[in-house]
Order: sequence, then structure tokens, then C-alpha cells
Amino acid sequence: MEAEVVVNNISKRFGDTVAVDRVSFEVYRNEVFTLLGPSGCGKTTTLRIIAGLERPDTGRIYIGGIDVTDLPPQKRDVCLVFQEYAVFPHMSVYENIAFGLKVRKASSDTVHRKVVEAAETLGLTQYLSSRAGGISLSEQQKIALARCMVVEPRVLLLDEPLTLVDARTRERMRRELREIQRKIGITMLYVTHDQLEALMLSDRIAVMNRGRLVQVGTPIEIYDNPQNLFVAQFIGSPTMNFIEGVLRKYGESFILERDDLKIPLDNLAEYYDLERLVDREVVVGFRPEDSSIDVKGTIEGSIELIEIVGDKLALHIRVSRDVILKVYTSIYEDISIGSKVRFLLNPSKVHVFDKATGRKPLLIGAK
Amino acid sequence: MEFRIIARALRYVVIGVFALWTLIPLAWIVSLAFKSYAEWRVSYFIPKNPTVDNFLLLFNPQELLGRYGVMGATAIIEPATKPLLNSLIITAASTVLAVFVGFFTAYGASRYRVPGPFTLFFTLLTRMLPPAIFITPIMVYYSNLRILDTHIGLIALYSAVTVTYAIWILKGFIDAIPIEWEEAAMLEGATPIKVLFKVVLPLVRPGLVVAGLFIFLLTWSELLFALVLTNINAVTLSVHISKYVGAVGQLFGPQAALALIGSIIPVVIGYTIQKHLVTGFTFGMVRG
Ligand SMILES: Nc1ncnc2c1ncn2[C@@H]1O[C@H](COP(=O)(O)OP(=O)(O)O)[C@@H](O)[C@H]1O
Ligand SMILES: [Mg+2]
Repeated sequence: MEAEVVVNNISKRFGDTVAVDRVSFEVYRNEVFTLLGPSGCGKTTTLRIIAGLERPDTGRIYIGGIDVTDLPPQKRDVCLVFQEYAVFPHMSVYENIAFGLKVRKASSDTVHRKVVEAAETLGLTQYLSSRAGGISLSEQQKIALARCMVVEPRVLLLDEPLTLVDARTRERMRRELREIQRKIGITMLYVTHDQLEALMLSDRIAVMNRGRLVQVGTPIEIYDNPQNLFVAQFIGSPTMNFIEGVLRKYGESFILERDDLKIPLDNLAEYYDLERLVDREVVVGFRPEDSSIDVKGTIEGSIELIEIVGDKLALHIRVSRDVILKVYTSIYEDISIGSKVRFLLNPSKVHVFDKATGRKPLLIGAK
Repeated sequence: MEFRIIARALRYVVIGVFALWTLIPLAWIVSLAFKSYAEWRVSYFIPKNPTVDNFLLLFNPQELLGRYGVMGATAIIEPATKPLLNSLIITAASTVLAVFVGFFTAYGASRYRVPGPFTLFFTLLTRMLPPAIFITPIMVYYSNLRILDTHIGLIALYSAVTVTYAIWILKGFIDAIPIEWEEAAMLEGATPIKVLFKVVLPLVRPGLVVAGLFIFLLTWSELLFALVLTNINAVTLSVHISKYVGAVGQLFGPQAALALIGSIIPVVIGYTIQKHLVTGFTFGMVRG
């Protein structure tokens, strides 16, 4: 696969704030690559560095195989859709879309043809003669997209383009965006703080935290196999269940130990090399769907709350004074608030992290 | 309740007094401009025999001298046409120049940081001192440069002084333009110059109008420097008005007539421009 964008070890400080800290990644041709992370983690800064609106303190940027680090924005063959202020309010929709072509001195035939074509693709035809400042926000974002589409950049950058759009429209726009991307086959570098949006839109996701890139992978990899406590906490709705404790080894058995609770982790030891975590503080995490009510279960607790989630029940089970875990079940027998239940964890879907470093132990057999 | 009524009454009284204070001299000028000589010094407002003689005399100094020569009105040798034209040319040129230079300076001040102590604040320094103290040095410069009593001399001075206002007014307008609009334009292929002319300039049009109008009015009514720096060639309207003074008395009628003309011109210009102002402001208000 060919890399359209190569980000090589870029860093950027603003005074004492390290906005971007040694970030490297590649975006392949025709994929949707998403930078995902909480607000303030450096996504916008990274995008602006790629666009040439900000200079990195260190590192290089390559677009289409060319080192563009020292080139101004208009020579980089990229276009950016901003979160806000997407259109020139004093121009008509047509003039907005035509802007990039006109400053490049395209012939008026070409301008007209491309503007009309982009407007059709995005369903903007009916607005072409309206004043751009007067139409709805979601339509304005589409105009911004159209403005970028007509100049046919090598890479389309989008910085949280849907955050200001209302929730219902956002849902629809995500779908449309993905369809348009497939149709015109453009390389997209998308920025969002919304994990659902990232999981839905992306071919690959890069999760960022505090200026660092913490994991890159497909949505399924990110969801199923978080490499790091931050990713585990950030991805998934509802979030994972977490239990903190100290990992002890008694004979050949591994146990997560707390004052009020002991959970055997022998199954986990089949997947992970736990030796190095012994006697350290760890965090064990699992998703509600990766556990099941079972009389032979290793963990016991009493039901605090019952939620109906589609065809399943989400049980909030108190397993000790301070620990309440969420478990899904589709078995309705003997389920009532206050009753005692036992449950099992799917061992291949249980994650363990070093609490201090947030890191995961190595897989057995991985070297 | 009662308190509110009193407060409201008081407010009207204050507004009324202020309105009278401003409007009476204006009414007086209008009234005087249409009065014949006999009525100049009487205190009623409505002239008994309204006449446009005062206006006609402005452009006919021979007749003026013939009539009022007894009052020693010897200074008035020129018709008012030239000062009117001078004022129009000088004011228009220095306004355009100040706004043009001010726009670029304001853009730089708004978008770039100037290192060191050379902040925009420094442009205000000359405005903090009484203008009178600049008269002597400027007289000397101008005399050496041989630009006393020239259009160029006044235009250069006026635009240099008023550019400060243009900068500060326009900086406010440019600050309000989201930088993203410029960045978007750059990413779509516009060079910095194109960004300036195709994005920023159209968006600050209302600002250009506001700054222009303000500077126009300021320059139009300037007296002190014009009085000192002009003599025959570049005499402005305000200077010319002050010349309708004879040895034994003031030529109130023609003076008022010229003052009226001098006040109507900016009103007409302001009214014409106001239309731009309104459309300009409304599009600025609608958020993008
Ligand atoms: N121009 C700037 N000046 C100073 N600090 C900035 C600037 N831009 C961003 N930052 C800081 O850098 C960090 C990362 O910001 P940003 O890239 O905007 O994050 P995100 O887009 O992920 O929310 C934040 O702490 C922010 O306050
Ligand atoms: Mg951001």
C-alpha cells in the first residue's frame, strides 16, 4: 500500500505546553485515517502541521512522496475542512465552491462544470445561488467539503467537521461522508474526539493522548485489543469494566488481590506473560459483552440495577464494597435486584494493564 | 413608580437641553444664511425677507466688495469656488491615502506579532500631544521642502495624522475575521496577496467605510494646520470661512452661507455612504 502522507517524528510546543510529542504515522491512498483523542490532545495541531498552517519544531512531513515540511499551505496539495467558519458568508454558495478554482485561474467552463458536479454529489444544487452565510450548519459543512473537492487535493483533511451539527443530522452526515469518500475515492485524514464516529468512519484509527500517539489500528483492533490502559478507557460505549488490585502469584496461580476481593486470573496467564507484573499494581478490564452469567462463574456479586439494552439486560453487579461491574445477559431467569449471581469472563477478551505505565504485558509466544 | 416617572422626566430634560445646545447654533447658521444685511444682528430666527444673496455673493467677490467694502472687507478677493474644490480634493485624497495605508498596517498589526517595543500603541503617541506644538517644526520642514501652500503638503500631513485612526478602526474589523477563512483560502490555492484582496478586503468593506467617513469629517473641518500652512493656492473651505471678517465687522451672512454649504457636503456624502454601511454591517453580523 502506498503512503500518501508520512508524518515522521513531529513535535510542537506552545510555550510550556507540548501539543504534539514525537508523533509518526502513515496514511495510505484512498483510506480514511482518523486521529482520535480527547480534547486538547494535539489532534488539531497535528493536522495544521500537515496542512502547513503550523511549523513543527522537529520532524518532517511527506505528502505524495515529497518532503513538504518547508512548503507553504497552497503548495502542499492538501485541503482542510474546519470545524467552524467553513464558508465565506459574503459569497454565494456557488462562489464559495468556485473560490479555489478561480484563484487557480481555471477556465470559466471548468469552474462551472466542477462546481455543478460537486454540488450534485453533495446535494447542494438547490442552494447554489443562496448566500452561504444564510443556510444551515450541516449544509455549510458540505459547502466546505465541496470547496475542497473541486480543487482535487491529494489528501483531504477534516478537523471535527461534524461537531457543530445537531446529533440527528450528524448521524446522517457520517454515513453520507463515508459514501462520498468511497465514490470519489479520496484519501481522508479525519480528526474527531468522538470514538463512535471514528469507529464508524475509519479504515484505520490513531488514538492520541497528551500529544502522544498511543495506538494505531483498524477499528476492530482498537476496540478488541487496546494496547494500553488509556485506549481501553477511551474506546467503547459503555466503557469497559475495570478492577484495580495487586497481582499475586501463589504457587502456579495468579490472583488479582484487593482488600475486599480476590479474582483468579489463571486463564489470563494462558494468553499473557504475567510474570513481570507479579506484586505490582494492575488494572484488569473487560467489556460487558465479554462476560456471561454462569453458575460455575468465578466471580460472585449481587445485582444492584437492571438496564434493558436492546434484546439484552445489562446487570450492574456489586462484587465488593467499591466495585460494581456491568455484565450483559440474555437469560432472564432468577434475575432480580438484590439476588446473587455468578459470572464468567471470556479469557481471551480480558485485558490486564500495569497501573503505573498503562502498558499491557507481552502475549505468550510474542518476542 | 413615582421615582420612575421623575427619572424619565429628568432624562427628557437632559436630552432636550443637549439637543438645544447642539441644534441652536445650526439653526442660527441656517437662519443667518438666508437673512439680508439688515437682519444679521436681530435675534429672531425666521427671516422677514428671505434671500439667497449671501450664497450668490460667495461666488462674486466684486459685488461683495462693492456692497460691504465700507466694512473693510478687503481680505476677500477670491470666490469660494477654489477653496471648495481644494477642500474636496485634499480631503478625498488624504482620506483615501490614510485608509489605504491604514488597511495594510492594520492587517499586519492584527495578523503578525511585531517583536520588541514597537507595538501599535506607538502610533497613538502623536495623538497624545496637542497638535499646536507640531506647527513650528512642520512650518520649517515644509518651507525647506517648498511645499507650503500646496495640495501635496496638506494631503501628506492630513493622511499621516489620520492614518492612526484608520489603523485602529480597521484593526478591530480585521481582528473579527476568523483566521480560518484566510487559512481555508490558502489551502484552496490562494497566495497571501490573493487572500488579502479576495478574502480580507471584501470582508472589511464596512470598516473601510466607517474609517473613511470618520477621517473625511475630521479632515474636512480641520482649521489650525490649514490656516498656518496655506496662503493662496491651497486654501481650504474652513480657512476661507474664517476670512469673511472685515476691519470693522464680520460678514455674517456670507459666512453663514458658506458654513451651510460646508456642512451640507459631508451630510450628503455620509448619507450616500450610509447605505453601504448598513448592508455591510448586516452581512458582518450573520455568523459564517
Ligand atoms: N496557538 C496555540 N497557542 C498556544 N497553545 C496552543 C495553541 N494551539 C494549541 N495549543 C495547545 O496545544 C494543545 C493541543 O491543542 P489542539 O491541537 O488544539 O488539541 P485538540 O485538537 O486535540 O483538541 C492544547 O493544550 C492547546 O491548549
Ligand atoms: Mg481540535
